[in-house]
Amino acid sequence: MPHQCTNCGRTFADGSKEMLSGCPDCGGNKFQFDPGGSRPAGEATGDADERTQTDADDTGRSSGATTAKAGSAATGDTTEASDDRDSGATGRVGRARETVQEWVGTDSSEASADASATSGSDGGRGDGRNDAERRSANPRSTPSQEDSAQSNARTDVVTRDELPDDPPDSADDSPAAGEDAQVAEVPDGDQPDLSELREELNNQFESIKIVSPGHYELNLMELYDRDEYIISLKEDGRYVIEVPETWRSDAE
Amino acid sequence: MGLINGLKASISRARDRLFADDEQKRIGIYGPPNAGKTTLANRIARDWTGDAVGPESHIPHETRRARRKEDVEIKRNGKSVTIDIVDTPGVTTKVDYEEFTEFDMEKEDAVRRSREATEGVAEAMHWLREDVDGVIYVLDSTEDPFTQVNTMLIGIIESRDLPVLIFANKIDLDDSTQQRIRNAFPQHETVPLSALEGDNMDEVYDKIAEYFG
Repeated sequence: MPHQCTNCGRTFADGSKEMLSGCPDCGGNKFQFDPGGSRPAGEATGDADERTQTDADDTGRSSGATTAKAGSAATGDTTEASDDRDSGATGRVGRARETVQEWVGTDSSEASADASATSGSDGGRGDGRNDAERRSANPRSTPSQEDSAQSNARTDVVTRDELPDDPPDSADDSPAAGEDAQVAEVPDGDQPDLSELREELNNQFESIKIVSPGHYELNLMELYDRDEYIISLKEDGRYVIEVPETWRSDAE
Repeated sequence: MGLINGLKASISRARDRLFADDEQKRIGIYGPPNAGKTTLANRIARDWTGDAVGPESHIPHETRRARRKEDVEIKRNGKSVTIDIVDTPGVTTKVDYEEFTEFDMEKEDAVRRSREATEGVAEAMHWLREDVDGVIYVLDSTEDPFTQVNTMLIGIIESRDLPVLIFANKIDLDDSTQQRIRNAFPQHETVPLSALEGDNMDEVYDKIAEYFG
């Protein structure tokens, strides 16, 4: 029973498409998410996050107030949720709104802490917090796609959101994390090669290497060994050299 | 025919140089930038001719062209030694204009100065190969003498069998340590001095007369 219509109380299985166009019974478009009610023992964390996303988009279709309610239900304790159901929708919604407003208020200031907590399997409370956070950050992300590739699209989003949580573990495996990791690693990886290349070039270049305008490297042995000597350097990298006297004698 | 003429000219020059050995020697003053080469050259030239060789500066590579002062006659112990002094640009393996901009120099001027300094190093190395009969190697005694440039230049000078004196300059400064220079080049005579203050110049002239006379 992951989703429940907040108006009539009808429940829907996770991934159900019935609720996408509103509750078939009462026409309500406000649902709450109850991960605790559907979570089998030992279910993977990724599934939990997927459910969270489903809920996020479901509520994203409805109003902001609905968003708050759904989030609050998710963050509420299981016992509290069951109490709400017993006492009726109105009271539950009112309390849920208050709860979520508190959560959202704290979420805005604890965004990073919540993100790191998402990967943990801390039950409905953690999922709900993350849920509310996502909605506030990215409301109504893909309303038009919900009818079709709902689960897949959300799975992608979840993956991206999860990546910053454990960069040390997934940096090598995950392509998304790899982008950032490579930016940092490429210079490190190339540094030895560049220094080797530079050293090799320094050994190869003749006499004077113009690194950049006003920045020169000189090979003293080459300068000493060569017959002609450089009288002046030109802006374009050309040299003016003095031809040895023996060469001039040949020409004359 | 051109080849034969060139050969003749070459032999002629070699013969001239052979005879010139009996006459005054051309002594190159070498060393890294800011060691005090021009200050020393000016000190020697003023002491014995009354003229200066070139401007001195605390900014590196002030001397960017070799300057020669001819017929410097040094009298020691009743004898006289006449030498030509060649003040050479400071030798280095890297020239970067940014080291000049630190002295409030405009970038354009600094870039030009670095280019001229590079040309100066090329000229100094050329003189070392072609035109000097002995070397005064000047080091700043407050600096570490164990550098690539010093090792390489001393090695080149030794490979040419040129007479060389090592001058440990700037002994007037508190952090001067001439012993470090002696340790770096124990195979050569090291003479401490302050070209700026004129300290120990008597020994300097004694050694010049002894080595290059």
